[in-house]
Amino acid sequence: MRIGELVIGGVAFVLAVFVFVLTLGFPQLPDGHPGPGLFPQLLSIIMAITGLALIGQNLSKGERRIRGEGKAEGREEWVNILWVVGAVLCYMLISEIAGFILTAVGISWVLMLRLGAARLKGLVISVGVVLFIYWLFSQALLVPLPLGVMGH
Amino acid sequence: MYEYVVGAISLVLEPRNLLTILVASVYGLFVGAIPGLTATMAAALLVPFTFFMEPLPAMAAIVAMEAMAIFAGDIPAALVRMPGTPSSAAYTDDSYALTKQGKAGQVLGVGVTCSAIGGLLGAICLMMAAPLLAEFAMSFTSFEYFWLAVLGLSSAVVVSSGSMVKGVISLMLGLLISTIGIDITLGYPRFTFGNVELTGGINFIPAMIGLFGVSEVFRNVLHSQELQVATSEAPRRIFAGMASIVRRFKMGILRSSIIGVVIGILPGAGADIAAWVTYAVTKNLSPEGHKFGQGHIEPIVCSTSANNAALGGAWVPALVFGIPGDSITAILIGVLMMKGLRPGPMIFEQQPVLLYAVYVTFMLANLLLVPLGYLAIRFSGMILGVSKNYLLPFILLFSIVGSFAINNSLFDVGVMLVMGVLGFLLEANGVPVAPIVLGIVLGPIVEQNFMISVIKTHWNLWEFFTRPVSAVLCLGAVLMWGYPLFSYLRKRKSSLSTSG
Repeated sequence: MRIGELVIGGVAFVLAVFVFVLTLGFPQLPDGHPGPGLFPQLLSIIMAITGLALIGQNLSKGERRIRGEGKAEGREEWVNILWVVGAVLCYMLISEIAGFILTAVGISWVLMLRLGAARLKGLVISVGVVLFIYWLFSQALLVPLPLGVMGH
Repeated sequence: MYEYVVGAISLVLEPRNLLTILVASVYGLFVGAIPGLTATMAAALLVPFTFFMEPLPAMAAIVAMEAMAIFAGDIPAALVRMPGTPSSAAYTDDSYALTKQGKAGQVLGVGVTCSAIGGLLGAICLMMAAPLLAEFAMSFTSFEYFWLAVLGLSSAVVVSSGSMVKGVISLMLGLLISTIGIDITLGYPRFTFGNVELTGGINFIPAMIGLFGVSEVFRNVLHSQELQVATSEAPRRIFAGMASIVRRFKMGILRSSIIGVVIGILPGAGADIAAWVTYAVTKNLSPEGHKFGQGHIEPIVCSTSANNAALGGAWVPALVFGIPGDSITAILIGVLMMKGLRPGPMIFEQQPVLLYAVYVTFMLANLLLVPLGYLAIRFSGMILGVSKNYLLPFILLFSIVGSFAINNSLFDVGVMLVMGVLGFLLEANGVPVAPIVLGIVLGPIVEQNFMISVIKTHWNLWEFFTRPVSAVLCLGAVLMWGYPLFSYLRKRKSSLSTSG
């Protein structure tokens, strides 16, 4: 039995039920036949069945697979994932204010340090690569990357 | 046809296109040679750039990048026993064992030569099969396209690795994602929850970047591994004795390339599955099959030919029917749609020069693979020495900027993050993400063609089964689902009778 698979099966089932309920409020075609709700309804029924099947498969495997499921990764590695998520959220929240260059240098440097890179080398590489990315997207591809405080 | 070929060659040889092919090739070699970074991730990160290119350089960049990346995966497989891309996993043990015997040069020489030969044979099959199928597909209507898309989706689940139940969940997720936004029949906003950004649906590009780029970053920060290079010297005598090896295994190369093309054509099955199937077939057919896995050159020759040949095969359904053969061609279809080009049989009539230019690019990329691959092998120590501590933050940054660049919207960056987390969590639990991609791409095709068909026939569903081509495609889908179910029931019955 794998907890992760049970959770995925459960989430798939709940999501399917949620989608199905939402589609009940969708309008029908003028001739009375099913309209925008038909396709998502069919999908949600299949998803609910497969979600239950995944749960059933796992429960029938019993306790046999619980052992040996232990992952080699420690707490620190899992925290790394939160740092990556935090970096993206941080970019979304402050890039408009601080601008692309400052935000990008900040998050890439902090992530490098978190992953074990040397402090000064990391900073130099961060600044260099971010300036290159800025030039590439902003100047060559004309993507309006936010300037933030550097634009004033 | 002659004028198309001449037009295509002159188009590909334009300096701007050549430069694009060269840059994409170097990029593909670099990404492919770094363990943990896949060719699909490379394609997803390439998309924001292709967004700003003309159709030909955009397609040429993807062709060149994937051909190089699939070969480059052989380099760390041989030197550090870690396949650079999943496509090299099948023969990693043989490659590494030969490297430890001091034959790294020969292994990588075989890798680059047979990849190029397999890639060229795949390109020839693409050139021959695609126009014939396109002519046949001209008579297709919404009924046939519906079944074709269903067949593609079925194949994605049945052929993809892992459990079928997980594959179906993944596929349903992709299909449900494709239903977000304005519906095609009444223009009704589905699952938008009043959010204006969702009315246009989930943009394919940030979703791809999240599923393949950001999830890769997550995986790499979780499983950081030190690379132990088996040999301290750069591989030498790379092409020594190559002609005799190719002559000795010429039939194996041909057979493997054909297997690669056929598997490449199946939606959901790409270069990695082609390599595994070829490995198994070669092992069964070879008199020395019992030695495979301990350092034999034959499985490397055959499997590396197959995985590069599969790339050409995957483009066949993508160009002819708009049904992606693998995750990379799913990305390609997204790129073409962004440019207003809808893949399908009509493109063969409307854009013949462009298609011939794609064939020429396939040929050119596989020819370029030999010198560029040689250089990559010679500088492999340098490439493998690049620390992921420095690289991963920039992959994340490229993912962020790439997602933002499509609509200049931070909402798309959010979509990328959500899809990245989703892809990571699913893969960590053995749920394949390729069916999600196919679901997002094929969902609108399935729904649109179904609704058009039923409205056209006043809901007479028999029309789906009585048209000859429709019926054959329907039968194909039924067999595709029926066979694994039948095998499962038979296995269950035999295990019950054994235990009883």
